[in-house]
Formats: sequence, structure tokens, C-alpha cells
Amino acid sequence: MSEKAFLQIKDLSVQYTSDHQTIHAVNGTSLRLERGETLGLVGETGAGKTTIAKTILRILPDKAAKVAGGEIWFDGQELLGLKEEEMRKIRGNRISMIFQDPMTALNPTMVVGYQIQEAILLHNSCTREEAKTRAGDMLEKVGIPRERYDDYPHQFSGGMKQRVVIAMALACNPELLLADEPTTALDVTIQAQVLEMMSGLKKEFQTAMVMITHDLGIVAEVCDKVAVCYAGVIVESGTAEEIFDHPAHPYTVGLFGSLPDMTGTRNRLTPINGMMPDPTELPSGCYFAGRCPHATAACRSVRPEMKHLGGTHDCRCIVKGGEQ
Amino acid sequence: MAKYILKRILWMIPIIIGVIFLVFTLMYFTPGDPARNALGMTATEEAIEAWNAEHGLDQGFWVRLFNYYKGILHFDFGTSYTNGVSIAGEILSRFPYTILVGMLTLVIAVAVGIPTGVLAATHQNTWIDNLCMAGTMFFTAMPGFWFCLVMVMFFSLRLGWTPVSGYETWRHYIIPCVAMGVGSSAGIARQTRSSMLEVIRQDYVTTARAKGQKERNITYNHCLRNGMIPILTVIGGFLAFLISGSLVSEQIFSIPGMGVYMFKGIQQKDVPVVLGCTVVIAIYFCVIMLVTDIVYTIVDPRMKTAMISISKKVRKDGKK
Ligand SMILES: Nc1ncnc2c1ncn2[C@@H]1O[C@H](COP(=O)(O)OP(=O)(O)OP(=O)(O)O)[C@@H](O)[C@H]1O
Ligand SMILES: [Mg+2]
Repeated sequence: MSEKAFLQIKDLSVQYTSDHQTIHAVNGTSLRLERGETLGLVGETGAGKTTIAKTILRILPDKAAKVAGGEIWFDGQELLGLKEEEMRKIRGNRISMIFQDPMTALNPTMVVGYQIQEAILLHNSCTREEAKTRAGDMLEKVGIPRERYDDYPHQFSGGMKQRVVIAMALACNPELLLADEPTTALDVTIQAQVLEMMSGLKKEFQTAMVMITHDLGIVAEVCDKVAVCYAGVIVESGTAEEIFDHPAHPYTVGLFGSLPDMTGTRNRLTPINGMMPDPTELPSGCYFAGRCPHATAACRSVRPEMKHLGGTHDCRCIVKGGEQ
Repeated sequence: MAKYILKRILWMIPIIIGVIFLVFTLMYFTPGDPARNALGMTATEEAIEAWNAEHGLDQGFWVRLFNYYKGILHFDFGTSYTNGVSIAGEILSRFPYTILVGMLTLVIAVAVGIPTGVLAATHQNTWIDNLCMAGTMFFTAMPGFWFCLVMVMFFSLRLGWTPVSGYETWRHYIIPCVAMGVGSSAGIARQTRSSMLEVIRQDYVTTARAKGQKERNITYNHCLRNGMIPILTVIGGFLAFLISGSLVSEQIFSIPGMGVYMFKGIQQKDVPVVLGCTVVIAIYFCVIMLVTDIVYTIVDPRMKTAMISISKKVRKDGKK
């Protein structure tokens, strides 16, 4: 693990402050991703997935959020220490993000075409006309006629807005794409088209992808690797086969419970009894201990380390890790 | 949209008829004898009667009201009781001064107010924010005339840079417009700050940042455009009260505008002058409201849909 990966996150911690409380959203997350690979980042709501993605792009809210520690290496550069101006050249160009909520991600006072063209114009030395043409091409690529370039977001349906958001993110052929539930607002046929499009991009430009999703079907379909996130830590990671066929962490087992194997039909994550620990007061031991059917006294007092299970399969559990 | 604008313009007619009726009635019933005011205490009964007949005051309420409406159709507001000068002519010569001073004041108010508000919002809770807000507090609390006088004392009397009063050259307008503009910028700055604070948190601002957009563009292009509607409302309000609000600067700097004219009319119980000014203000008010609404739709395209659908709804309800 000494060689630097294309994207490598080391021990990242992010905290939010609101009402004088500290919310521990990300608590020592580590991830690795190579060019052309797709990593599925799964976990319950509030697990810190969006926060991780925003931290990579350094677009967390200035005042509320603080990166408490860790490093993010992208193609040999450490992003967290980069000057704002350098970072700005990476955003939307080499790394871009598809946002979770298409209803609020678009500026309501600007035509959609302009919003796509913006990134193209910022990062390429081309004329306004060329940028406009390319933005029109992007619209068509996501299945929206280019005649709608001059329409405003409120004139689009939710699914179409999502496609505009996707077009915006793909406009500069990013090397790393952070897709935050990119298909949640889409119907099944469009969903398939969008996934197809993203796969095409992966092949054509060797784009690496972090796919945040609740849809295990999508994970099975497009992801090479999977990382399971719980209360801001990665509790298990490995190739998709390793995770689907041999889930080790009790949380993963719970999540993937109803999904028989990788050939299974589309399934949402299965709900697990109980709630995630309060991010303002995390327990001293394993964060999952409160809901875990296998929890022992040790689990409640000792914070488990990541254990290597063979291959690329890692698991953060003192009881289950290792025995399969 | 053109249909909507036309409809709004047509609506102005009944509004103005109503306003005239109200003001005319009010003036009719306010006590006071204009003939005596004009001719003085020593005037004879005959002289008073003759004066009343000359000004049509010997007739009944309805006839006088009707005659007034008829006059307005020909842009005839009658003549002043005190000096017999045509009111329409006076208004025509005074209106441009008021508008000129008002617009220059507004330009300065916007040019100072919006950047101040933006600066305060983007540096929320820092000393910059506090300084900006303390400044706006100061200018809100200080009356406009005080600021005018301070500026005159300093720039005109001490430094001799600008003339003290008058309206002949552009240099005469510097102090009135700057003094009133900076004073009015406070409201715009406060509204800009709170609008911007609202908008800065929105997701689409993060989206713009994620595209690699420059911070300056994000603030002035993405955010300000979205926060503009309430700011426009403040500006519209300023414009709407421009004529009466111009009194202070016109009085101090001897600018022959509408504000002083109406004020004198009220003081001297010069009924036709007050009426004439009121009608002009009513028309002006309607026009400003319409322009503000049109600017809304330019700034925020969602307003267009909303506005047209509201006017359709009104029509439907009316049919029921
Ligand atoms: N701006 C913010 N201010 C304060 N707390 C925040 C903020 N954004 C997120 N959080 C908190 O950080 C934690 C992680 O949130 P995050 O949005 O990263 O979760 P997520 O995994 O993306 O969830 P979901 O699947 O619902 O999108 C949550 O506890 C959330 O309440
Ligand atoms: Mg999220």
C-alpha cells in the first residue's frame, strides 16, 4: 500500500459545527481508487457519504464545516493543502460532482444551457460560441433536445433536471467523477441510459468514479469496488465480488441481507433495527455495537482496527473480521 | 407578457379615477375659504363672490368634480389659486428636475448599497460585516437633511468645491445626490445583506463552486441575481416615494422640483395644485409599480409564469 493510488484518502475527519455542537460527520475514512475504476460508496442516510465527496472537491460550507485531519491525494497532489486557485482549476475540470438533489442543484435564474456552458468556458480555451455548441452536444448526450438550451430549470421535470446536472458534471470529461445518487430521480429506462453513458465515459476517458448510492443493483452493475460507510468510517471494503459474496461486517451483512448474490435483481438496502449513533456523541467502542447482534463487551469499549481479510477485502470488526 | 402589461396599463385608468375622486372629496370637505385666503381679510363680499365664480367654486360638488375630470382629459389641471399660473405647465417644468435628482440619487444609492450589502454578507460576523452594518445603522438613524447640511458645510463652504445651492450646472447636483444617495443606500445595503445570506447557503451555489467558478462570479452572478427580488422591492419603494421624498433636498438646495411645489400648495391651501400633484404622483406610482413588476420577471424567470397565472386566475374568478 505504499504506492500512491490515483485517488487516495487517508484518515479523513470532517466535523460540522451547528448550535455550538460538534457533529462528527466523517471519522477517519480511508479510500483508494485507481484510474478507470468505479467505487461504490454505500451506507445509510447520514453516514457521511456526501460529506466525503464534498471534501474531495473542497466545497464544504466554509463556516459550518472543518476538516479535522487526514489527506486526500489525487494524481500525486495533496488536495487539502492546495491553494484555492489551484483547486479551482481542478473543480469541474479534472474532478466533478453530480449532486444528490436535482431540484435544488440548478440555479433557478439561469438558462440550463448557460449553466452547462459555464464549466466548459472556464476550463477550456474556447470561444463562447464553441462552448455553447459543446453544451448543446452535452444536452443531447443526456437525451434532452438542444433546442431547450434556453429554458429555465423550472421548465424541466425532476428527471430532466437530474440529466442537466449530469451533463454539467460531464461537460469537461473529468478524470474523477463523484456521483452522489445520480439516478435516484430518474425512471428505470433513463436510469439505464445514464448508467450506460457513465460507463461509456469510463471506457473512453478512463474516468474513475465514486458512486454513492442506495441501490445495490447499481452497485452490482457498475462498481468494481465497494466501500461500506457507517457513521463516517469505512467498516468494510473490497471488490464488488468480495463484498457481495462474502460480506464480513455485521453491518454489511445486515444491509445486503436480502440480496442473494451479484446476479440478484435490484434491491434497496435493507433497513436494520435501531439507529445510527448520534454524531455529536459517538460511542467509545465500535460505532455499530449498539445495533450489532454479535456485539461483546469488548466491542463497546475498544474501537476496532481495519483488518485485512485477503485479496483487497478489509473489515473493521473484532468479532467477525477474519472468520467467514 | 405584452397582454399582461397592456392589462396593467388599462387598470391604471380606474385607479387614477378613484384616486382623483378620493382626493377631490377630501379637499372639498376640508374647512377653509380659498377666496379669503387669496384676497385677504379686507376683501368685500362682492369681490369674494366674483373670485368664486371665476374659479368655478359657486357650483355644486358633482359639477365641480365632473369639470375636473374633463380638464384632466385635456391635460388641464387648472390654475393656481395663489398666482394664477397653469398647474400643468408648472408640473411639466418641475417634474424633470425631481426625476433627474431622484435617478441620480438612486444610482448612487444602488452603487453604494449593493456592494456594501454583498461585502457584509460574504464576511458575515467579521469586523467587516460589523463595520458595514454599523454604517448603515448610522445612515438610517441620521435624517437626510442633516447629512446634506454637513456636506454643504464641508465641501461647499470650507473647501469651496461645489456650489451651495441652485440647479444650473451638473456641479450643483453632486451634493444633493450624494448626500441623499448615501443616506438611501442603507436600506438597500441591509436588504442586500439579508438576501445574500439566504442565497449563499443554497445548493446551486455549491454547484457553481463545484464547476470551478470564480468566487467573484459566484457572488455577483449566481447569488446576487437570486437575491435580487427583495432588493428590487426596496428600490421600487424608494422610487415610489421619490416625489414626496425629494422635498428635503429640493428645499435645502433650492431645486425647483415637485416636492417643494406640492409642499407650498399644501401650506397655502392651494387646492388645484395639491390635486394636480396628487394625480401626477398616482400615475407615476402606477408606472413605477408596473416597471418594478416587469423588472422582476427579467431578473427571475419564475416570476413571469407566476404573474401571468395570477392574472389568469383573477380573470377566471371574475367570471364565476
Ligand atoms: N451543513 C451541515 N451542517 C451541519 N451538519 C451537517 C451538514 N451537512 C451534513 N451534516 C451532518 O453530517 C452528517 C453526514 O451527512 P451527509 O450529508 O454526508 O450524509 P449522507 O451519507 O450523504 O446521507 P444521505 O444518504 O441522506 O445523503 C449527518 O449527520 C448530517 O446531519
Ligand atoms: Mg448525501
